Amino acid sequence: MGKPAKGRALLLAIMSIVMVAGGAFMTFGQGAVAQDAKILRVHQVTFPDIADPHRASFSNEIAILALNYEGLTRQDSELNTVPAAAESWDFNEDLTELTFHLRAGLTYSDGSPLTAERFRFAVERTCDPNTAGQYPSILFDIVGCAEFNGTDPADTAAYDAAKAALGVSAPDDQTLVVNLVAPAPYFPTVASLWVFYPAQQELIEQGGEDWWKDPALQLGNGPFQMTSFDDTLQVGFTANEYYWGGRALLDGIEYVYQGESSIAIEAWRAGDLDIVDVDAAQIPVVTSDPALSANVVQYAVASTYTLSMNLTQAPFDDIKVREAFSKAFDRETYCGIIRNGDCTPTLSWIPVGLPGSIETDLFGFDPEGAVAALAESSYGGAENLPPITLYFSSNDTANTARAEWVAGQFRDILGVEITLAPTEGTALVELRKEPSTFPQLLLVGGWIQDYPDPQNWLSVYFTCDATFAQRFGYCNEAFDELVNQADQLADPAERMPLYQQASEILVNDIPGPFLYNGSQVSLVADGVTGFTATPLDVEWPGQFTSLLTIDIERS
Amino acid sequence: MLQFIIHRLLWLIPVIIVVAAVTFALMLRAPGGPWDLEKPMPPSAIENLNKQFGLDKPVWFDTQGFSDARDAGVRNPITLAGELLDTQFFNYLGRVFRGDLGPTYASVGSESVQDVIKDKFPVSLRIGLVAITFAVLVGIPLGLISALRQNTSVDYVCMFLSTLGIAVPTFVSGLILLIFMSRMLNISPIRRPDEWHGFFSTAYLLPGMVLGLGTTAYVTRLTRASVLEIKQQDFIRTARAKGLSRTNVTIKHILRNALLPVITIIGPAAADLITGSIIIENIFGAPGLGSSFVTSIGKRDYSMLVGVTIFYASLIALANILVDISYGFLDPRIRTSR
Repeated sequence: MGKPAKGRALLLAIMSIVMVAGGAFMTFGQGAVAQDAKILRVHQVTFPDIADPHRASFSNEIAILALNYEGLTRQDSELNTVPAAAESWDFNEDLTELTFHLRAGLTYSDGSPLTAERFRFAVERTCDPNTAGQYPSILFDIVGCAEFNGTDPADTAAYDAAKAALGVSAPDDQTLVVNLVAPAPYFPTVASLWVFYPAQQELIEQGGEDWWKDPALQLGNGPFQMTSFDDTLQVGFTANEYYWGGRALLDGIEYVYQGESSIAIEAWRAGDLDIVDVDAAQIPVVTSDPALSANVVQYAVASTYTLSMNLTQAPFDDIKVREAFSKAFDRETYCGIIRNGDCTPTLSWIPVGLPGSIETDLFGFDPEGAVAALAESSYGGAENLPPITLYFSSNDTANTARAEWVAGQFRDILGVEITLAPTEGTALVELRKEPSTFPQLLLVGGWIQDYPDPQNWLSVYFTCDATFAQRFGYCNEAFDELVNQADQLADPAERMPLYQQASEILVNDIPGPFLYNGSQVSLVADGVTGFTATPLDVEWPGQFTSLLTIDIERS
Repeated sequence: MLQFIIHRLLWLIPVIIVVAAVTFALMLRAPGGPWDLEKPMPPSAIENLNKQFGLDKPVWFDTQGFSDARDAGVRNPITLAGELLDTQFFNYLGRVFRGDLGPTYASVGSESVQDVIKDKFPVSLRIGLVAITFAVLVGIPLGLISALRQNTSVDYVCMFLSTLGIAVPTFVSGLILLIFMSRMLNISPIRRPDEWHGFFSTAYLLPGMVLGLGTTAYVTRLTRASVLEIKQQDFIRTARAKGLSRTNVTIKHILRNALLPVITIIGPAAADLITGSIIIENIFGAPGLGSSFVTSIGKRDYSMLVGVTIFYASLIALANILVDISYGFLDPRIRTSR
C-alpha cells in the first residue's frame, strides 16, 4: 500500500466530518412543520408546572386554561365584566349574596350538559385544603373559604364541617348562589377567573393527581377544547363546536414552547409560528430589521413595577428621601434605552386606562428637585445617609446592567454611593416575607393584576392588613377608609372617585416610587386578523377577548 | 470478574447515601422553600402542604420525638430508633431504596420524580449517545490522522478545528447552525413533539452533534497526543522491522495502545453528555431532563433536586465501572492483575 498523499489525508479528515454532519442535515429537514390552514401557532416561553384550574396561578398556566374553559363571567375588549356562562347575576340588598343565572342549554365541548353544580364544585375544590392550590386566597371573600382552606385535612370532623359550611350552593341546574363575608361588588369580575373553571369532578378523580395532562379529562366549556398535551413542547386546541357564543373562526390553536426567543423569531421568519413573544433582549433585533419591524405589536399590560423600599428602616422611613430617589429616577431613559423599550414609564399605581386609575406628574424625573428633596430630609444631604444596598433578582442576567445603571444615576444625581446585592429569585422572595428582612431598596417590586378592578390593585395590596403592604411597612388609615368604603359600593359612579382619591393618597405617600408598566412585545404574522390586544393579555395579544374573532389567512 | 463487578456495584449504596446527605445539606442552606411564590399562599395552606409532604418534620434527627417516646416509657430500641429517624432525610432515604424518589413539589405532588426521569431521561440519553458517537467517530480518526501527519497542513487543520470545538460554546454553535439551516436550507428550527418520540428520530442528530463538539475536540487532541507517544515506542519500531504492513501497525499496535487514555475519559464524558444540557435542550426545544433539573433549583423543588442528583451520581458511577471493565479487554496486563 502506497503512502497516501497529503491531500488525500486532508480530504479524508474533512470527509469524516462532512459525512456525519451532512447526514444529519439531510435527514433533519424531514421534520418541517405541516401547515394546516386555520391553526394559529402561538409561541410560549415556559411550559407550565401545573395546568389544573384550581391549583394554578401563573400566567403561562392560565393561558392554556383560558382557551379550554370559561368562568361565569368574562371581560370584553374594554375590560367590562360581561356575561359568559352566566347570563345574568344579581346581588341581594346588602351586596353579600350573589346569585348567578346560567344560560339555558349550556354544554361542555362534547355536548354534555353543564350545570351550576359544576361551578359550585370548582369553588369547593379551590378552597379545599386537599387541593393545595396556589391561589385559594382569591376566593377568601366567600363565606367559609378561608376557614375551610385552613383546616387540617387529617381532622375529618373539622374538615367535613368546614366543607359543609362553605358559602356556595347550586339550588338548581341554572342557579349558583355565592355568599360573601362582606359586600363585594367586584365579585362578578372574580367569577371570570380560572378558579371558577368547571373541570369535572369525576374526570379529575378518574385521572388522579396528574389528570390535567390528559386532554380527554380536561373537558372544557371554553371557545376551544384541548386536544393534545405534549409535556414541555406543545399544547393543541380545536374550536369548540358547542360553545354558546358560536364557533371560533379558527379551527384550532397550538401553543409551541421555546425558551430561546431568538430561535422562536427565526421560526417566525420561516413561517412556522404566527405569534411570537419577543424577549426584551431581542427587541432591538426585531425593531431594527425592516422585515420584522412592521409586524411588531406592542401594548401595555396590567402590571406596575416600583422601586420597592423598606419603609420601616432608615433612610426610607423618611418621605423626603423617598421623594429624592423618585425624582432621581429617569424612567424615560430606563424604559426606552436600558430596557430596550419593553415598558412604559408611570408615576401612579393603577395603569392608566384601567378602572380607578389616575394621571399625575408628581415626583417624576427632576435632578435638581431630587437634590433639594434630599437636602430637606432629616439627613440634610447625601453625606449623612446610612449605607444603602440595592437588591435585584439575579435570575435574569440582564438585571445586573440595569441595577448598575440605576446605582450610577443615584450616584451622579444625588451623590449617594449604593452597594449592589444580586440575589437569587427565591431567596429574594424569602427576604421579602417580613419587614425585618425586606430589602432596603429593591429593583423591582410590583403587582400583576389578577382581575380588572381597582379593589385588586388597592385593597389587596396596599391596605394596612394586606400581606404585601405589611411586608414593607406601608399603612395609611385615610387610604384604608376610602378603599374599604369603595369596596362595598355597587354603583361604579360612586366607587371609582373614591378609588381615585385613594390612588392620589398613594402617589403622595411615595410607598416606593412608581416606575413603569409592563409591556408585551409580540411579532404577529401578516395574515392574522381580528384581534384586539388588551392589558389582560400578558402572554399574547387577544388571548382572552378575541378568541372568537381572531383569524388567520395563509398566503 | 463477576466478583469485581458485584463489589463495585455494592459501593453504589454508600455513594448514594453520601450524595443524598450532601445535596440535602446544601439545598436546605438555600433560603426560601418550594411554596415561596411571588404572590404568597395563605400560611394555613403552606402548613398543610408541609404536613402533606413531611416537610414539617426535622431535617436530620428527631431528638424531640425520641425523648418524648423515651419519657413515655418506650424501651424497644427499634421503636426508639424509628422515632429518632422519623425525619425528612431518613424518610427520603428509605423511599429511595424502595425505588421511590418522591413527588415533585413544583407540580404540588401531581408528578413523581421517577416519572419525570422516565419521561425525560430517554431524550437526554439519545442526545448524549449521538454526541458520544459523534465524538468517537470523528475525534479518533481526526486525532489519528493528525498524529500520523504531524506538523503538516493536515495536522494544523485538525488542530485548528479541535481548538474551535473547545472554544466555541454550544449556545453559539447551536444558534448559528439552527439559523443557518433555517435560512439556507429552509429547515424549521422547531420540531414537532412526535419527532422526539422514536428512538432513531433524526431530531436528535443536530443537538447531539452540537453537544458533542467539545468532547470531539478533546478526543481528537487526546488521541493525537497518545498516538504521538506510542509512535516513538520501541515495539512499534520492532513491528515495522518485522515487515508488518503499515495498516497493521497503525491499527493493531499504535491505535489499540493509544486508545487507553481515550477510553478513560470517554466513560465520564459519556455520563456527562447523557445527563442532559439545559442549553442544548433550550435551543433545540428538546424535552430532556437537563432543563428540568436546573430549573428545579430555582423552584426549590427539593425532591426533584435530590432525586435527579442521586440518579446522575449512580449513572456516573456506573459509567466508571464500565470503563474499568473495558480496560480489561484493551490491556491484558490489567486483566491478569485482578
